[in-house]
Amino acid sequence: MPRLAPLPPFAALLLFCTAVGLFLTLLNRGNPWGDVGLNLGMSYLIGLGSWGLDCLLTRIGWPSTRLRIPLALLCGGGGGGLLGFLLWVRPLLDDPGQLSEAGLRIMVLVLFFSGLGFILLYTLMALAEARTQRAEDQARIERQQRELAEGRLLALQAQIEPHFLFNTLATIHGLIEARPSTAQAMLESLTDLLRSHLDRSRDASTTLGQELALVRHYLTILQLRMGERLRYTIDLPEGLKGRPLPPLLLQPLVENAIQHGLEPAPAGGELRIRAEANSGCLRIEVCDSGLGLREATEVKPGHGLGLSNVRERLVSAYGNDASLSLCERPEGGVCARLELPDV
Amino acid sequence: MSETTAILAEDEPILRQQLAKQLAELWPELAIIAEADNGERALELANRLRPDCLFLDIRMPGLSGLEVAAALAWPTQVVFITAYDQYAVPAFEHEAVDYLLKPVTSARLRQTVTRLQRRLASATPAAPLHALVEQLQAALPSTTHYLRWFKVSKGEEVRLIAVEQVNLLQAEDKYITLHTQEGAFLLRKSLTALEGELEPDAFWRISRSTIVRVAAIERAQRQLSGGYLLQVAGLAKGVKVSRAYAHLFNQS
Repeated sequence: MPRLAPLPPFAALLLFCTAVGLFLTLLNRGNPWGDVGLNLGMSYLIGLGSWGLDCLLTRIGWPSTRLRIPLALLCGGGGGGLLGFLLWVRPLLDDPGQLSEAGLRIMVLVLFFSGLGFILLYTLMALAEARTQRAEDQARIERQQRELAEGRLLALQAQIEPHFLFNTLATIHGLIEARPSTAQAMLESLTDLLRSHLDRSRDASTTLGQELALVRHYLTILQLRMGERLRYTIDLPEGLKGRPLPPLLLQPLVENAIQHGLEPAPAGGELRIRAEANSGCLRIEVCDSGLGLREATEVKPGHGLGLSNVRERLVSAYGNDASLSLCERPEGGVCARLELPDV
Repeated sequence: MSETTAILAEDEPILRQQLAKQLAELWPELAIIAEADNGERALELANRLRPDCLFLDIRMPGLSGLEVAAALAWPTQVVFITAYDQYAVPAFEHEAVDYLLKPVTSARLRQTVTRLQRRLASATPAAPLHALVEQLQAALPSTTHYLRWFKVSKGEEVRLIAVEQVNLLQAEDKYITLHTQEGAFLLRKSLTALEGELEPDAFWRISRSTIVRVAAIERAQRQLSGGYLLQVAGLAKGVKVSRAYAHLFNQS
């Protein structure tokens, strides 16, 4: 369907006023109110009055459209009507009875046509608004879809950190001749890790046991690489293994502890992962005895701690019932604590 | 001619042993006089022992390989080793310094050895590293020195609040209230002192007592007074932008 180009507002106003003036002239053909000059003049004055006041209100930054337009129509239009009445109608009539009848008549007409103009304007505005709203909705949906795709990609990149991958490959390369069975075990751990990363990013939910198995693969590899510098314990009560957990909540916390706490510490340190459930709350702690986070810890753009990502996942899975908090340990290092509703 | 000496600096023991082994096969005359598992030790050893060549891993605890190279007191032939630095590798390509990517293959290491032997034989002076290191540090994703964490006491604990968690900072008396999605935290600091530590594009001062995180602004509404009223994520009440800061929101 071809769409008509919208009229510029001022031209639309003139058109509307002309139509009203001519309509009144035709309606009153044969009586003194049928004068074309009078009807057009009054109509233009009322229209220009409303339009002028509306422009003025917009200029001074009147915030609400809903109030502005009725106000402009009533005061501006009424003012224009009064002016017309004083200019043209009053000089013609001198009988007070006739005068008040004419005044009433003009008032009714002003109210009627202002109302008509108002309804017309509102309908047009509502239509335009609906159109922009539709366009905005469309744009928002597209943006969300794009962000989702980008987010998945970023999440994937963040999981398989290139330094981790290439250093691990280099280690396997180094071990193949000297310690072939260790090389083989390490390759198996890496394979499991990569596979579960790829599968998991598509899964909606996993279990605490599975998630910690993934963490264990990661730590096995790192312990081979870092040697004495990394010690770790995982404390998971048997009964909690089957607890459901959104994927990729835990892994980023462990990677942070390694990358920011233990790897940069020349002496290395200890990582401790602990899960416990009590009174409806599942609590998982990842604590390291590493460098800790300095207030201005240098974070490379795009390589943040991934914590905002974890928080977003918490909100989408649990609303406001879950939390992630980070604390500095008095003995050095950082403790990350996840608290989830235990269902 | 005295024998050629080298120091290996790499934090992972298996990779260090592997490099030593590969070098022994390709260049039996090379004497590896020391090994270091962190940057500080590498710098100390290099300055004390003054080797002919220095193999430096870029990512090491303590000092990074680049920092070690910049701080060397004695010119030496440096070979950088990196697992993955998409920004640094192109910078290496143009320089007289060699670099190796992990895993280090024997074929590639042979090239490095040939190049080093040629340079040492012709007594080519070691390339000056300061300019290169500066260039590399600029090429690597820039690190920010802005505040990343607020440390706030909550009971017995010292909580770490990432700056991205904070939607609004409001000064009251001697404290600043940090409004986050998880609640409010008190910080003992002055707003003006803090303003200088926050990333200027991410946080805007909007009145004498308020700083807002730009990404947390949901809506800005112009007021008759000439200021603005902001809807900020996580806050039910609107936040006023005083006229002095309204220019931040004015169009064009």
